[in-house]
Amino acid sequence: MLDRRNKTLTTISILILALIMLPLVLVVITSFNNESSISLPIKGFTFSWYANIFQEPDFITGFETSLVVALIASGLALLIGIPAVYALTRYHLQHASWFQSFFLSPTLIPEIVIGFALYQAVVINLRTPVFISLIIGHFLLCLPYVIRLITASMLLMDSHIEEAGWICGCSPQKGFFLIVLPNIKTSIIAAFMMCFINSFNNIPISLFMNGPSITMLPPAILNYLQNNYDPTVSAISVLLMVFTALMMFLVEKAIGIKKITE
Amino acid sequence: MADLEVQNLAKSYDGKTKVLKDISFSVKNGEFVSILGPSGCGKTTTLRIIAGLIPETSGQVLVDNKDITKVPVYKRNFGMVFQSYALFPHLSVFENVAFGLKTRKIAKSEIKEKVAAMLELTGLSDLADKFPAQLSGGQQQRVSLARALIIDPELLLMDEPLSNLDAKLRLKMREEICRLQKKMKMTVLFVTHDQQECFAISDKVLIMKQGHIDQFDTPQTIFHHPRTEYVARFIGYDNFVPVSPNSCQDNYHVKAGETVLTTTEDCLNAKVLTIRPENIVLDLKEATQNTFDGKIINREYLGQSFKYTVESKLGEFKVEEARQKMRSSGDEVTLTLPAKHLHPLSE
Repeated sequence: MLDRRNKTLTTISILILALIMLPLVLVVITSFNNESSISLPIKGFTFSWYANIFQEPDFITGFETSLVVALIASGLALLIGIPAVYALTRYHLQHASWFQSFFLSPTLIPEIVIGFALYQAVVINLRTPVFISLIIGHFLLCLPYVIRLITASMLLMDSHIEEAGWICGCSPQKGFFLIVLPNIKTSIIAAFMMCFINSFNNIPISLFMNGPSITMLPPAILNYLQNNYDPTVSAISVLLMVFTALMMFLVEKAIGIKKITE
Repeated sequence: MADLEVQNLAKSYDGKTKVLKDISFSVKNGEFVSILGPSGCGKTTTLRIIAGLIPETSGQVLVDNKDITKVPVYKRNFGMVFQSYALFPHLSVFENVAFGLKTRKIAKSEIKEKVAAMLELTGLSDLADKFPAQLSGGQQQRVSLARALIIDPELLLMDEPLSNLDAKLRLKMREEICRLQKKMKMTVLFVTHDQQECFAISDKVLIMKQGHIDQFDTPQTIFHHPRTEYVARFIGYDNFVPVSPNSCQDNYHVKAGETVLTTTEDCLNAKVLTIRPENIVLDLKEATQNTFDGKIINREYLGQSFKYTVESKLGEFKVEEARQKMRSSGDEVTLTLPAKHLHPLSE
């Protein structure tokens, strides 16, 4: 075992932690600056930039749209991903590995390419409403996470427990809900989390769909930043961090409880 | 509990190679029948088809003379115990056992009563609120048994239920299963590759070889009268003497090479004679028949006896001798194969 008091290791760990945390800490500090530029050191302390967020309609509607899109896209990815994983792991399908790679392929393509392709094909050529295209794009972003995480836990699950359920009188449909789902619950929650965070923070895909009709939060922040270089951006970043951390905490709590009962 | 009848069961996964060929047998109400065979002989496949977990290619499964071949697994009223126990990890012991009753929409109060009684019977009352991951292998197996029995199944299927347990626990669980089976008058079909285990607990044993039944008899009959060389080898007959073709003189005398051997069983169609190592006698003074010379070429110590390998004109023999005086390699001995222990085999 490694010595816990290994000095080199401790130093490196602290350095890396600092590297990750420092920018976040700086953002938090600058959000309270009473000057109208993002700069350090700060001259005074104010909450006015936080108040300013709510004066900016793009931020409010952007947050709402981003939230709705992230929820729908994550939900859709689970709805389609879970049965797909079930089929891939339970039935001896021909070309199963081919399907597996196909489902994971969106991770291989740069998101900006997906965004552009969707804009060109779905929005312009097929004249699909922007909101629908946005959902499609974010769904593609989410699906690989669902496939990856849930495949792992399906393979870990003893397939005999499902059979035991059938023997006990459960139809395969009922057995799926009573036996399979509860046992992959942890990875479903984790997959949902990954989907939600990735979709909510996504810029490349949302950027192409951003326009007069629809505002997403990350492009709205980017847009604001281009016109005004003031700490409102820092303030909203802090709020987003708190929001994401809160979600993580809730999920951790949910999974944590599950672990105790196991 | 009910009668089970299997008729001409066959199974092929790819349409070409048959993993099961023409399996037919019946299990009477209250009988304990084991399917014995090495891995890959089709014993688990047979059990899974009877359970309804995999479809048959042809043939029928009947319970109390009703054809249930096309009845889906969840509508057959069977209990099954898996090798991996297959408990529901997200449910407590109580909920695991209650599962079959819940799917049958039985009143809550009745479920509580029945599960409590079953936990009492299987010695699990103190563990009702524990989860499977908190239990030992033996306890998990007991929960698995309780879960299978609670629905009062027509047939209890067990797929190598003891092979994940250590030797001591295996014996204990074996006795417990026996006790429950007698008490509840269960009809049991038990799959195993352990000969000792299945002879100890079964009313009848079905020995399978490459997808077909080689012998289906009581353990005693199989032990004393194996039908084929395969069965004989499986249950510890180590010595096989090939018989000269068409050398049977009067149904009880047969030639092996130039030596005439006497049997007490009809040897008219015998291809090979077999005898257990512990039935061969060394240096028997008053021997008059089935006796010839040999030389010891190897010795193994088995605790209560020695096992010798003896070379003779009829080939090598394994001889087990339970006596203190130790023989050594190179010793000259005479071998006697008592006629009543020498079994003619036609396959």
